[in-house]
Amino acid sequence: MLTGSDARQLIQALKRQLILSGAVRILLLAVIAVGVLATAWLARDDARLGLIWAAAALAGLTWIGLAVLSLRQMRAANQATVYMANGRLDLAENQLISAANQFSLYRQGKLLACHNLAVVAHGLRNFEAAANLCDGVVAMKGRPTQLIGRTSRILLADCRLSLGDAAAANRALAPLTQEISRLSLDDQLLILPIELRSKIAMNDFAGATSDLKEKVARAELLDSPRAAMAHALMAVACLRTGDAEKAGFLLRRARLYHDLTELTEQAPGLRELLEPVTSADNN
Amino acid sequence: MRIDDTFIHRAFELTAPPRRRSFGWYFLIGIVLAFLFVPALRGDDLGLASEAMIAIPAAFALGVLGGVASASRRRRRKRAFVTLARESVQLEKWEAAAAALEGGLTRPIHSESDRASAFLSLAAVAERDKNFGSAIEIYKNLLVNRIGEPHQLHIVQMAMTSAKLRNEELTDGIDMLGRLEKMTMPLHYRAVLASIRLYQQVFMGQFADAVENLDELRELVRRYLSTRAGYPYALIAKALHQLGRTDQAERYWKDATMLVRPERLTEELPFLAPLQTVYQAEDRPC
Repeated sequence: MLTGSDARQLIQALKRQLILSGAVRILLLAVIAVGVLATAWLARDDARLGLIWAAAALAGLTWIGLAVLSLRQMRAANQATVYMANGRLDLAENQLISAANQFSLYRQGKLLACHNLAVVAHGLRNFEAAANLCDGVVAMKGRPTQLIGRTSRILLADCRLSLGDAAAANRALAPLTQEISRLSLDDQLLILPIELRSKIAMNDFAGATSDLKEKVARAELLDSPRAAMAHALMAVACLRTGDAEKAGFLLRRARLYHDLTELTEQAPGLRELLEPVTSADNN
Repeated sequence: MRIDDTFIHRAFELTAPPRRRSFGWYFLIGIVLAFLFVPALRGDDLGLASEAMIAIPAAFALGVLGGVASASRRRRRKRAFVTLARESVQLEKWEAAAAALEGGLTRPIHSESDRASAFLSLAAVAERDKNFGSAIEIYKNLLVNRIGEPHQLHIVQMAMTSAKLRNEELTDGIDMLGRLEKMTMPLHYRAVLASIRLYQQVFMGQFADAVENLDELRELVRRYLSTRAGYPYALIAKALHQLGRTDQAERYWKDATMLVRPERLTEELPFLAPLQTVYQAEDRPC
């Protein structure tokens, strides 16, 4: 199993490889450009022309070869999602580690492999490794990172919460929650239970109950376990802000969605967060 | 927006993806390649100045890149309406969904999955207006033309079965339901099928059959239907009420109204209205 330090090393290697692949791309493009410019500038009988053309052709072929290899890496990263869907997280992890270690001409394949590896590590409850991988992906700049970065941020926040670091979870989510209305509904739904968990862990009960009606409407669209979690967390926030009636309603609803005991066994730290409502309920 | 057969067929025609790329693209790419290779192969510069030999293919190449960027921006804009319609349906903002679809279903949609998603949203709007005939027509077109990913086609089959039953095309609906129940499916689809079967049994007065495996049914819909489990709970309450098991019926009605507002339940399933007068709904402070 991937450890936290393995994940950190993988990210370091990934950063080095991304610099190398950038340099290779620039070099190949430069050789091809020289080949094109030489056609116009050098005389037809210039002896250097043949050499330059051969180098440009070789660079073109190298680009095509590396692009094919990169595509195979992307395919491996995508194939791993099939293993993930079938619950074979061990196979997915091996495939993704090997994909992440291979040389690739493009950033996207590598980032996708790393992101999927973080999802696998999270699925295996290996939160430290998953958090380190997400940290690495989020820290990288560039357009492909923006696309994968959002889900990596959400995953990072969830991992940090599971590791008991609510402040880090809040920091990871902050850029997303600041522009929440601009995000897709799917992203908003992914964020809601994590945001509620981090707010309650940081005793920000007023923040967790702000715009409650809208939050309840969003929570209704979640799958049963996450809907139960979101409702139970909102119940805690309502109880802490002195609204026992809403707290009671939200808790009854949470129990209707899913078994809360089962839920607290699956999410580390959740039992402590829900204690105010579950203990009151038991009494 | 009036969703009738004319609107539906026109929407399917207008959103069909173009079959081939425009010849303009091939022409531009050909020009760039010709400028790169012909002078080298012929051994002369076609009588053009050196600067022209660089500037002309560069300008065409930039044209190709600009065209590709603009086409992908256009496609992203088109996808935006599909997302808006889907999200509006999820949030039950029916007017916003209808407005997005009315404007969006007039241009080709390149991705089959996006196209299926747009038409599924249109069918949801039609069902909301109790226009089940049009919803069935949309589902039929999606299935016949195999528009969408395999999982979307599964959803279409289930939605069509439900729409047929609600349109009182009972023989067709029951046949389709029987066929779907024999297929191997993930459990969340099983939960949807179980709730469609429950609707059919309650609608047709087969109350004892409806509550035969009550615990199993409750566990399945609770696990996989989330808030929408309110509908099967309400149907179970109706069956139990008809069977005289009023204590249980009351509990199920409370559970149903805890998840879905009673007025929404009776609006969608009018035969549940009598329950509203007999049993107390759950108060909703938020």
